[in-house]
Amino acid sequence: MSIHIQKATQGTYHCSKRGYEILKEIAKKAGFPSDNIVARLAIGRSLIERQDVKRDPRLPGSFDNEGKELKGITLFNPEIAPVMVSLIVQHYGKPLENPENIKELVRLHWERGLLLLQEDLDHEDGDIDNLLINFATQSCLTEEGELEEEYPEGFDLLDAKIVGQEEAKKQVRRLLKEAKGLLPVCLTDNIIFTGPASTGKTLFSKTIAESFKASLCRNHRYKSSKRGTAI
Amino acid sequence: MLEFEDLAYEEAGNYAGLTLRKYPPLVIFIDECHQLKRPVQDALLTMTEPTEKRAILPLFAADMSNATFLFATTDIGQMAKPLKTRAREINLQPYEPEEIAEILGRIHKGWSPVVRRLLAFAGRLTPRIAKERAKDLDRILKQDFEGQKPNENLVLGIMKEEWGQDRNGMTERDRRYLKVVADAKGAIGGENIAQQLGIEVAEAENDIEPFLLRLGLLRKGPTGRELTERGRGFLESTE
Repeated sequence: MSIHIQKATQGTYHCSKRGYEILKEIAKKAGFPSDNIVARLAIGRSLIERQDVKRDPRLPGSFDNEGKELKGITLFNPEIAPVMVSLIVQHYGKPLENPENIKELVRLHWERGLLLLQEDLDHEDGDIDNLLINFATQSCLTEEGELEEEYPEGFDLLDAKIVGQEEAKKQVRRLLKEAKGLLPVCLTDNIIFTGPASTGKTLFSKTIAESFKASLCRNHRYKSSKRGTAI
Repeated sequence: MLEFEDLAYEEAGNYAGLTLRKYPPLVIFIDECHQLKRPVQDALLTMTEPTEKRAILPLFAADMSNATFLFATTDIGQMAKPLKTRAREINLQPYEPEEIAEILGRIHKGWSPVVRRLLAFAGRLTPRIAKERAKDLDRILKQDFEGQKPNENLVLGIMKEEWGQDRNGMTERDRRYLKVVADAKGAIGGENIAQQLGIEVAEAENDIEPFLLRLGLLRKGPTGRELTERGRGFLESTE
């Protein structure tokens, strides 16, 4: 493991331009004295996701390096480096083919974590306190089968996420039930949500994407479902 | 409008000379779809065609057979009719105060229903604003009240002093708006109201009117805005 720590703390990391924008926004909203904190937070956030970061289709095949530049020793100071690197290797689930690969994993977790933090922030309507509270209460040591246990038989994601809107939920529930038997999961009908501002149109869409464990692609800028597979 | 380049895909053969990319299960959410230009709405028609579900993009074709399209609009009348026929319309209702109180209860578990209901009005019956108010209240409680639990009187005081609102969430700006409508002879247009108040039309229409309509103080018809009986009663009681 020490060679991994050594490799992880050597050299310099870059994030993408898009990632840097998210990093700055969250650091500003949270009032952090340095955006380095958000970089570490992002890696932690990505580690909560069970999906293999190297195969996560949310991430593009390649990144620009136009964003934040951070030295490895700054990102992983000596106190936290062993813990962070251990978690990253544990998340990978098998021995690294080459110790150098740790750098690639760090970069991917950083980028994915930033996307997820942005998504969480949107989910919390920009409320950074809620984001941090939710983040703090999620376990980063996930067990096999957790996803199945998370939604037990009879669990209704729509009820869990959305207050009221019973008639709309009834209609969406019917469509979701129809879609359940389809492969790939896909609603048989597209939907137009209508109604005044702030009635939950976006929340319904996110919840549908989440119930499919599918990606949510949004016009103008990317948004992804909490446990989606791609954006 | 939508970019698919970064999504994971697999090559799925050839489509009229273009590489056909097959995408993973995907939910495509198109917000404020009434604002899309007609050519874009037309382009979406082929993407949502039940038997086709394909998008022809400049460099490649996208197989969208795994995609579910979700549209959202505050003005369904502005949407092109053909596109409307490609989707099922589901209407969402404005939130009731009790529902907003329930939403707040999920975040602020120890706060009483009375307090949460007041915050629903302070948030102008909009969950997003109500959450902001609740957050602000939480800050004030920690800062000035040693983290004490909020009660009705305390919240009413904060609504008045800090946010300039009465117990119904009404502000001085709302009252001036109602006064302009009351003073008009008959129905009055939005531009006229905004001009008299010295504010932008969008501010009047987006920030003030929806709340007054929800409270049943205002009526909006084809010829303009008028006060309801309730609106008149409200103005008289505050004068």
